[in-house]
Amino acid sequence: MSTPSSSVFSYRVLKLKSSDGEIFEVKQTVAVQSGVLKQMMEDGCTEGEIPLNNVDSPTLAKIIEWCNKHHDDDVEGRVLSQEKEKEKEKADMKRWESEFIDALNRDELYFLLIGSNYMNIKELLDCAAQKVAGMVKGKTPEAIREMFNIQSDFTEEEEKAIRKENQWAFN
Amino acid sequence: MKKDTHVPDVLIFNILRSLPAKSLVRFKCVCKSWLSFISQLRYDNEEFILRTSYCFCSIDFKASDEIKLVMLGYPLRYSTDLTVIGSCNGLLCIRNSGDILCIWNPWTRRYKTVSSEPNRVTILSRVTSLSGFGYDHSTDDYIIVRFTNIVEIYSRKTDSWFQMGRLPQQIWHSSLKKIGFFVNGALYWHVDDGCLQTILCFDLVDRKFSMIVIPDDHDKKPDFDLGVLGGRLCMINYYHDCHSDIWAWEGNNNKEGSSNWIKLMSIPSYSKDWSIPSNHNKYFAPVFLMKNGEVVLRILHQYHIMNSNRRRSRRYVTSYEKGEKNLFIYNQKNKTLRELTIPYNVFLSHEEITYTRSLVSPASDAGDHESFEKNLLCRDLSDVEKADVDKAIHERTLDLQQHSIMTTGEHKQVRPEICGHLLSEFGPPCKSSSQVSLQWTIELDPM
Repeated sequence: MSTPSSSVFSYRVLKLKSSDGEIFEVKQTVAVQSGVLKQMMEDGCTEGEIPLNNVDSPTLAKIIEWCNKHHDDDVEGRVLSQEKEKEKEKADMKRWESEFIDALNRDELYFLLIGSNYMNIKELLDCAAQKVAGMVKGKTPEAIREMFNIQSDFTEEEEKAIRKENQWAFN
Repeated sequence: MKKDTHVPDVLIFNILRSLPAKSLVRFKCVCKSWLSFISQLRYDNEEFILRTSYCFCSIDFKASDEIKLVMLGYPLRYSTDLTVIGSCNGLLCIRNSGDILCIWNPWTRRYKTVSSEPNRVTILSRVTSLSGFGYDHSTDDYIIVRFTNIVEIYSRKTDSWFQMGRLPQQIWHSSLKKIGFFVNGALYWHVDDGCLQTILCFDLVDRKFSMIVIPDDHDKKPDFDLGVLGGRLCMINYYHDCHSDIWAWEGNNNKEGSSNWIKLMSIPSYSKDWSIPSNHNKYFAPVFLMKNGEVVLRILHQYHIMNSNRRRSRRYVTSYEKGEKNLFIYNQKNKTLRELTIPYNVFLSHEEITYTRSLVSPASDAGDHESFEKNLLCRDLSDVEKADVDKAIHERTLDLQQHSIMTTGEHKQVRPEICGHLLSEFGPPCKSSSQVSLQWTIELDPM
């Protein structure tokens, strides 16, 4: 069959399979926000279950919640008569986004970051990255190591030297 | 946190890019891969900086409706008669009113003041004609060049001045006070006295001066100026009908020392093409090339001034008339022009600076100006009394006008015979043709 017409296209559903085996059904019009799924749709290889090996079910549920919200409230796509209305919708969306991100614990946030990167959902990735940037800013190197589970591979002398050279940044 | 959650480095590093400089520098000691990423971090967005009546501001073009000014502050006592000597690898070199030089990184907010040589330099500084600031990649050193009749060079590494020799008098006398443009390892000055227009070049690596004769456009005889757009040295030709052409220099590309100018774009006339009423000749001068290819323009006013030898000479002055629209953005693809709205017309200087953020340290013993301007930075732009700003603009405008009259009055004219002499003495045997420049080396006289 050739490419489906747009009306058929919009009601079709994709079956996404999370890393822990759960199946999620998502409308194509929603899934199109993911660069990876969009590409698959264009290539016509979305039959059956689509395995997302890097995304577990709680994260995928979050990602779909985000995409649904952004699909339903697609500010650009809808014709709004009033500028004010448009502004208000934008502001509402911003508020929703920050509440959505703020409600996550650190692990959920990391998984969302990894998942949105894997599925190539730019807006969500930016939003999650911005949240992480806010958490990282102003922290000590020790706190950073704890946050990202990093082991220092410097010797004591090496670290001392770097600190000395950049003393101003530690004040 | 689950011990197995590992965010890939590439994701974290992308996030690090958006962090403030101080956090970044501190994170150098998190681990080796972070150190290596942060040390090699390059920002690729050129920023456009304007000097206002109370500090340096970067313009945020991303702000959708109105142009947003982002205050950068300034480490030393701020006054309107500062001069920006140059911008290079994220460092700005600024001359203060008291002839103190300052190398400043606005992003890390670190600065270093440069000691002037005692006595001699202070006397000579009043007649400093050319100066510039750049980077010598062969020695990883930042260099300030200034000259009166003696060429003096400051090295950041040694934190000291060095006298190189004497430049032929005709060159430095004809140049007024000019700031050099740093492009690809060399500084360029526009040398102009009304009858001879050339480019003086100083290569920071081999420390040699050279002259570049610009192409001779016989029919139209445009006036020209230099600038840097998108990291390339550009020649801007101003024609009698008030349109201007921008040419980019390709540098040395053959053995004979000649090089090509490639036309980047043509900017239409201010009043004719846009039907903007104007009493006297106004030109658009390009000051910044945006990433999307649009050009930021400012208005140049042209005045005719009689020289001491009764030759009519054209001078360009940027002035800020009350209510005048100051900056424009020109889209050459769509041939559209739009105005930049800047709150209260706060910018005053005619120095538009292109700058790219970096973590480069001005010096190992650099100072921090965080505490100095905490108060200033806490103030929002809207807090500044409009009346004060207007007053400052008015004073600065008067100052600029007086300055332009003064400098032209003092200006020593190099007579045509001297120009001929200059060309015969230092110049190539033949004239340069259209679009091709000739370049030759100038030897300095010993001290």
